[in-house]
Amino acid sequence: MYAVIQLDSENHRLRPKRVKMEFVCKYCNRTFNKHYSLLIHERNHLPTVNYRCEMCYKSFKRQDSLQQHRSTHSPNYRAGYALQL
Amino acid sequence: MEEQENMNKTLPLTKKQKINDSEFRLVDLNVDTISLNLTKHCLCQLPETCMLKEVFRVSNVSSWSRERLLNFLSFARLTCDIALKQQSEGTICTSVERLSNYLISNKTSVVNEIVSLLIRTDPYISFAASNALADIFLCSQNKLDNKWVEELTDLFLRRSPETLCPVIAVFKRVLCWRDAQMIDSEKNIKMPENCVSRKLIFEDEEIEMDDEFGISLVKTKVIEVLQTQWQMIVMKFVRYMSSFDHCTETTNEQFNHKMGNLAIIEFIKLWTSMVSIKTNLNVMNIKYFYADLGQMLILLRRPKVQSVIWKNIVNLFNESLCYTTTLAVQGTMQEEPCMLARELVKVVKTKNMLNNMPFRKGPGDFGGGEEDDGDKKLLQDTVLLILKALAIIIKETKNDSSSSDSSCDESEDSEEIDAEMAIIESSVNEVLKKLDSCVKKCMSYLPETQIAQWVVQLFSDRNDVLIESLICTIDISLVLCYRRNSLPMLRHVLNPTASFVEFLQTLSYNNDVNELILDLLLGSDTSFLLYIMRILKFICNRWSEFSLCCETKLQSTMTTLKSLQTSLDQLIKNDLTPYNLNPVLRLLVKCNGLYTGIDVRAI
Repeated sequence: MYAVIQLDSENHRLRPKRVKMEFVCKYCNRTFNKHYSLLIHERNHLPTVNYRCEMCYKSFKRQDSLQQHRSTHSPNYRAGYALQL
Repeated sequence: MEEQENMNKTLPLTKKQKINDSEFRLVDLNVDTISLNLTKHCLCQLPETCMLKEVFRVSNVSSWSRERLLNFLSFARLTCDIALKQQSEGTICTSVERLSNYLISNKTSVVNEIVSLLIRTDPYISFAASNALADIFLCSQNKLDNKWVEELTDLFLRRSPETLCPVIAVFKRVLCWRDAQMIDSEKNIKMPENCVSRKLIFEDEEIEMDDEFGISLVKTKVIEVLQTQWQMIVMKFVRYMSSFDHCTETTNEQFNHKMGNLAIIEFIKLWTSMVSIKTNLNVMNIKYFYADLGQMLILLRRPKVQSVIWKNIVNLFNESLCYTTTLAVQGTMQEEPCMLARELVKVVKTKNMLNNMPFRKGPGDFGGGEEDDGDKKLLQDTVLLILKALAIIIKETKNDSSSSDSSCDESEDSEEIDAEMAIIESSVNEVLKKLDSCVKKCMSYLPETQIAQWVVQLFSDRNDVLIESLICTIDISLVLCYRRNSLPMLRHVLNPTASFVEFLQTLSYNNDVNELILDLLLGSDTSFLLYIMRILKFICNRWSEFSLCCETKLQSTMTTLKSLQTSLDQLIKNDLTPYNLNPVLRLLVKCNGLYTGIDVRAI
């Protein structure tokens, strides 16, 4: 992701202008006016992320679900080495 | 290891000499040994007798026996496949690299021969050639010869559609490579310790996987060659499809008919992949492929379209009208999808496109009577397409009228824009009436069920399209229904509150709603983030209307939102969210503040 700042070349000296930002998608070069709009768009380019248990290879959509699942293997199981795929 | 050495010892030396038929077997044994070592990801331990340089220095492969040819094609594919996998891991065995380079150098024009094998009538050979060629293209990267692509495109244009499935498959595999690569990357490669390998150094670590290995270069080259002929290819297929409907499977050309049907479907699927956001192609590269989409629309206006063709064309349009992924959040929309959306709305409104929809297998509107349940997926995709088209033309008009961004809040439109919106509103109203009537004829919904409700019921078995249709409905509603002089009926029909309540109700039937919402929000398989932003903004801006419409469901709805707020708060605090969810949390806090009567600004 990167932003391109567009300035009003004729009038920017005369009065303060709101800087118009353009956020460009790094995957397809489509442009957006808001950073969050770009975030919404770029998530569609990403592959589905799964979090997999390193003990039984069961995969979860969420990290917190994986953390919860880990406790089922052993009460003393050390949290913190999530294998992100 | 010992076993492998023994096997290697048994191979005779095949020095550079004139190879005759009796010696083919010995050469093939070399190929077999190299293949075996390739699967172990290293060729360093091969004896000198296996002359890597020679195995791809073959010519006139077209005259080879079937078995030998298949073996050779599989070997070529395996070589490129292993080289690609090792490249994606960042370390490549130098011998594997050398072997793949011998193939790509194409000293004896073997790649050109593989291109010509694509149209062989033997399906095994054409299939193997197709896979091998795609991997050769991908592996060749900056050494890809444009002539290979031109030859391939020439086949696409000149050969009869019945023979084109393998050709289309090459384009599809090359252009959609990223997805296949992601699946393969799950398998970690273990190279032997004594392998002489080379680490690949990348200047920019943040650069995409495709770019790292020049695969995007291959894709761009393929696209550039293909786009010059695309219009002609489309015209060829449209003509073929028009004549195809008259054929029946009872004719003596049953095989051709089947292959032709397959080629049509594969052609539409290739087109769909090219315009799809998920394929990650540069928008400027694919711009040209939007131009002829209108040609496919003509086919939907014809009666008795095969349901599989209808479904694939509708999928193509759905991918082209990338509303929830892109257009809904863009300040300036591309012209091409807007044009397609306008055409679509026109065809539904004036040409009764929906009546041609082959929902059931029979004569008459939507495929006739009620003998069977009908094809629900076909109906879902068609309904989604129309909702998307409506949302796009409305957003396009709104964008033209205002230099502001894409937020769909109420704005003060000028009289001129108001008049334009009134015309669009009337069109939208007409199209929605047709859509409502069509859905109610196909599905057994009660006559009083409003669009806002049946949208959830119709799509409840497919999360991704359900969310897409909800976004389209809320966007249509927010622009049209909350302006001056809007039709009161539309506000009732498209009520976003009714949809949201129905959605939560559907989620709550069997499961924990909060867990399901979190799955939707954190996963990237739906556009739920956009929907929740839209609906929460709507609730905040129109709290009194929302609370009135919810009636008895207000308490359960707000309990769900409160519970979501608590979960999100915890996840954000523990840094367990894959992206920034603070904007959603802020809106949830505001909504819950409105419910409890606490002004969050005061906190």
